Amino acid sequence: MSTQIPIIEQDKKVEKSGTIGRHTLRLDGESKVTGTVAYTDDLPFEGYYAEVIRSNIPHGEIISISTEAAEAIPGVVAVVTGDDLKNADWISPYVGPAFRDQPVLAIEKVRYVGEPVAAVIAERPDIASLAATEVVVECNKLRSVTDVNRARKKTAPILHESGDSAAVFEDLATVHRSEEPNVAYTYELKVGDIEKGFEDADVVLEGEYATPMVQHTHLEPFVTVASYNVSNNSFKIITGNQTPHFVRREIARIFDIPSSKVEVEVPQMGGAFGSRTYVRIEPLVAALSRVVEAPVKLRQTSSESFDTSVRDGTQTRVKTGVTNDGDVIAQEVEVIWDSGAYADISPRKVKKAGYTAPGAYDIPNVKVVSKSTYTNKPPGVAYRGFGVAQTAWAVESHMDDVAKEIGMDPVELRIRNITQDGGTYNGVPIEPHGAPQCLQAVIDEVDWFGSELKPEEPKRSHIKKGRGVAVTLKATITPSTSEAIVLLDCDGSVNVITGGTEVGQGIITTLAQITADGLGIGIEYINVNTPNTNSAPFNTSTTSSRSTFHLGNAILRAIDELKGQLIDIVVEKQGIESKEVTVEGGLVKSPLGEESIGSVVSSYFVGGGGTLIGKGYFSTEASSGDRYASAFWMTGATYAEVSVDTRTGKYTIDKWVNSADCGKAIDPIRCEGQILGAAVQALGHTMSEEMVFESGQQVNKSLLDYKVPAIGDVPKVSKVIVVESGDPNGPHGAKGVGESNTVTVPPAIGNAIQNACGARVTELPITPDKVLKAIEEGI
Amino acid sequence: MQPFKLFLPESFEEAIGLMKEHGAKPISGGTAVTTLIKEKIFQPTVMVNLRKLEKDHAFIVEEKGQIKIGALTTLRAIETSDIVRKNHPVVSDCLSKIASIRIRNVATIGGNLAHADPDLDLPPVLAGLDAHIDIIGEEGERSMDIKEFIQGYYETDLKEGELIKSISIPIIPDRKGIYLKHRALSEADWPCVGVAAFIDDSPGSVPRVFINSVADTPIMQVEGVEDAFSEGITTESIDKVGELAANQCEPIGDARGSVWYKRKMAGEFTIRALREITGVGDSLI
Ligand SMILES: Cc1cc2nc3c(=O)[nH]c(=O)nc-3n(C[C@H](O)[C@H](O)[C@H](O)COP(=O)(O)OP(=O)(O)OC[C@H]3O[C@@H](n4cnc5c(N)ncnc54)[C@H](O)[C@@H]3O)c2cc1C
Repeated sequence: MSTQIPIIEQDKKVEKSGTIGRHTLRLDGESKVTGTVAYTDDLPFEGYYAEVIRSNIPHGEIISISTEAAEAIPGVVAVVTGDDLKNADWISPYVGPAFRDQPVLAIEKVRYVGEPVAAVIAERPDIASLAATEVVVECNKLRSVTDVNRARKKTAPILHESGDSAAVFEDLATVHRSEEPNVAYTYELKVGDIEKGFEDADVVLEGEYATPMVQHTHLEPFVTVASYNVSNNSFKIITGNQTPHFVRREIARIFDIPSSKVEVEVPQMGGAFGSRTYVRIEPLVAALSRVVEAPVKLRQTSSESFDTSVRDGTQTRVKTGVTNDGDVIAQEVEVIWDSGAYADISPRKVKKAGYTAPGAYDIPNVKVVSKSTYTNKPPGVAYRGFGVAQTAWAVESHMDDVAKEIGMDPVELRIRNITQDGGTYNGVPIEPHGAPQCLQAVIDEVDWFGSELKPEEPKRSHIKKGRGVAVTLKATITPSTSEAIVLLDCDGSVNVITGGTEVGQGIITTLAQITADGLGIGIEYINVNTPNTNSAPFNTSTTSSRSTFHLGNAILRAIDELKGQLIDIVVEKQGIESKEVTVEGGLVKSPLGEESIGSVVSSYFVGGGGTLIGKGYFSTEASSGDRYASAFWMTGATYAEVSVDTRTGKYTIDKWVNSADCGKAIDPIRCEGQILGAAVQALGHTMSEEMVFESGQQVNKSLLDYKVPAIGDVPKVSKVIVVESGDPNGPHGAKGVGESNTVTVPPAIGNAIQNACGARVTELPITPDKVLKAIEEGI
Repeated sequence: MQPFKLFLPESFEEAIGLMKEHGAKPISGGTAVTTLIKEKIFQPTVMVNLRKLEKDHAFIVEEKGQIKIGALTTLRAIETSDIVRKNHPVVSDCLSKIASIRIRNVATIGGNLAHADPDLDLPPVLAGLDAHIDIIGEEGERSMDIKEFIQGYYETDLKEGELIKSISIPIIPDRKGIYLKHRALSEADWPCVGVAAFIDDSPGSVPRVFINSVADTPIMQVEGVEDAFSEGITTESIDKVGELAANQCEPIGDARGSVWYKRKMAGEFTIRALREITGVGDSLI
């Protein structure tokens, strides 16, 4: 028997990749740049088209919906109303990840302008859209409430009489509806003795800050295709969604069928930012398909995105007790969330963002009250930053107000109070998180303590310059689970199957890099799927910047298992001890020689091929006792330098520096992309984005009037710093990096404006109008 | 969007005939009209597309002391035209601040002016240059000053079946102008307020000021300027004209600014524009 193992020709191309930490061109890059990538709406489709009829009043009882005129239009197949679903024996028509308070189509009541009340199904989209205008909804108007403070009064109209707990997630198992009128859920946190903290303080300062509802403005609107198969009572759903396994579970539950009968396929998505979490239009399209027993497609417009999911507005009161030396010893934060008409994931948001409401600071006495409030507006859902962007707008603005009050440099105040890496937070130990390093990185970059801004020459004294900083600490979704399957073919190439979705963040390439490195093969041998729940193992969600960390860990475990199998095969074949065998550089090495991983697989199977399967499960633990569990912590900081025209209130950002801790950059350029992308998205929240409501109607419900930043708005002098603190539990030390700077940008700019001209705008967005008013009123 | 029938005539005469026959509206670049259709504000069943007229009516020529521009000329072509830049850099500059290059590559001057949106950037500049609109209809052709052409909120002097054929801008070598576009939300946005100011390089010339976005037309001319400058042009008298502008405008409050703010900005940018073109006082831009 020869000891020389032949290496098959193909495998000569396999080289040790070592791609961790190196920039790798995105595997989906070319198809996106050339416009050939297929999003849901681009996939071949044969079936019917749906159009949604929406409520045009904020609150009312549905008296009747007349569908006859629409049904009479040639090409119309059916018109479906909430009553049809309520009376059907094949669907439980309420959904929601926390409380099941949201009907698939409005049942008996409408609770916001834009709420789906009926749907037309037709042979062509234009017929559906024409017929939709013929459906007449008659309502008995009810008093509505759009303000969170009025909503909580005893006299306020009540949006929901009751709400069943969904009890899907462990962290929401104990979540109960609040007793207070229209409050979906109240989270409270008490650390130390808040009263004594304020008594001991030399200075106590209070402030109020607010953020409006905003929308994710993902460029690909909501599109879902559902195909009900009557022969075996099953569904196939193709949809842009960040949580395909939750969609499967929820669809299976509402139709009372096994989850294996629900196939959810998620193609590439044109942005998501939290908007496509849990279920959006999927239950409706599935129900429509069930009605007509044929495939149905619903493609909404971008204006309809505003009717579907938004970011909660907030009103926050912060009270801080500080010593003359700058020790923050007490802080009380009350956040009232404008969560719209349905709770969606608000209880978790209110809890998690409530926990870190005191910012990145180690404060001995803390009180937080955080309330999700129902109002007659579109439902608030997850949004990049998951509530921390709203609480940090308050607390990070307030920190500068406190610094000003005690005459201390705002960065010095932050350094003095920041929670140490591996120190304590909210009175309990916290894992290393990188917040001090992120802050240090930006102040070193601009030499904060060693430099001053040069004022404009006297002739241009109406232009004032200023600078500001903000820092953040944010938890990630915990507990959660990710699983991975790694399929090794006998030619040495690999398919990676997970439930992770590509929303544009580049996860496909990151997972390919981790796999390439783990097996020591070139990235060109790896294919990473977009998920289909028929084959992809469970993944909690592609949210909370969790994918690199959780899916990466699951893949590493799958690769370990795969390597174990490769070693077992060689051990058996060669009759040697397993400790003598290693898998490196795409080769299985033993004292008797080396063999490519592909040929090991090929030698093991007969019949023209074979696949070796490695699987990996990765779960994190829930909080217990006092300890607040977060699989990892996200941290980052922003420095902004502005010029304010004090005669117009208009400001320009002359320079900004954004840092975020990614633990370890699997690809530094993609980390920079995430950091800058988050910052630019938050530039919109800072400068222009606001859903404006008049009597419950959003008056700027289109991208014509709702302004997101354009390329000309992005600061020309920009520095991105990728901090690598090394997460003890992350794959190669990596952790999530996608959100921190959506949090830090608005307060850093607000602080810079205050530093420049004394104007403190407390309510986002910071428009020139508000700045000028603040200047004139001397605030 | 509901499907509609689209005619593609090859001449103005044919277009006018089709418009009459079907009671249809024209479409040129389509950038304004398609947004109205998508928003369901306008739901046509028939439209007359002027795109094929591009062959003969997309031009910029210098003739008889005027710059003549065909109705189908794109905003981008005008912006980058040497003839325009040489004679009226203020026009090129104003155009460079409209929407994005993608929009300017397809939007036409005819569509722009017929749209008559009170927020349009270009009309106050053309008003200051005494531009004329050349109109063609069944009855023949006529020409009128842009200040009379735009009559109100999305309203022009065009009668049914009439089209803009071209525009004519007189070449006035001693006229100096500036357009200041103040954006409040994004650098790619429409104006919060835009101010165009002009002065002739001749003794006793009185500046003229035209403002968009603060009235029901994009051409609000500030009145009483002559009186304000009767004692000469000083920073004080410029401030006084700023006050006139703020008082005379009737803005609608929206996301770009409250009524209070837009009024203030109409005044402020009037002052800024006047300081620039007169050279009186320090520059504020
Ligand atoms: C995203 C976006 C941003 C924009 N930003 C700005 C901005 O910052 N500043 C600004 O000033 N403008 C802005 N605009 C408006 C833009 O200038 C106009 O949409 C454009 O000039 C219209 O030209 P068009 O050829 O596309 O007109 P169309 O859309 O084809 O037509 C517009 C109107 O004119 C009529 N019409 C067309 N041609 C003729 C003709 N020859 N004779 C008579 N009637 C005719 C049509 O029936 C229609 O009523 C923006 C537009 C968009 C879409």
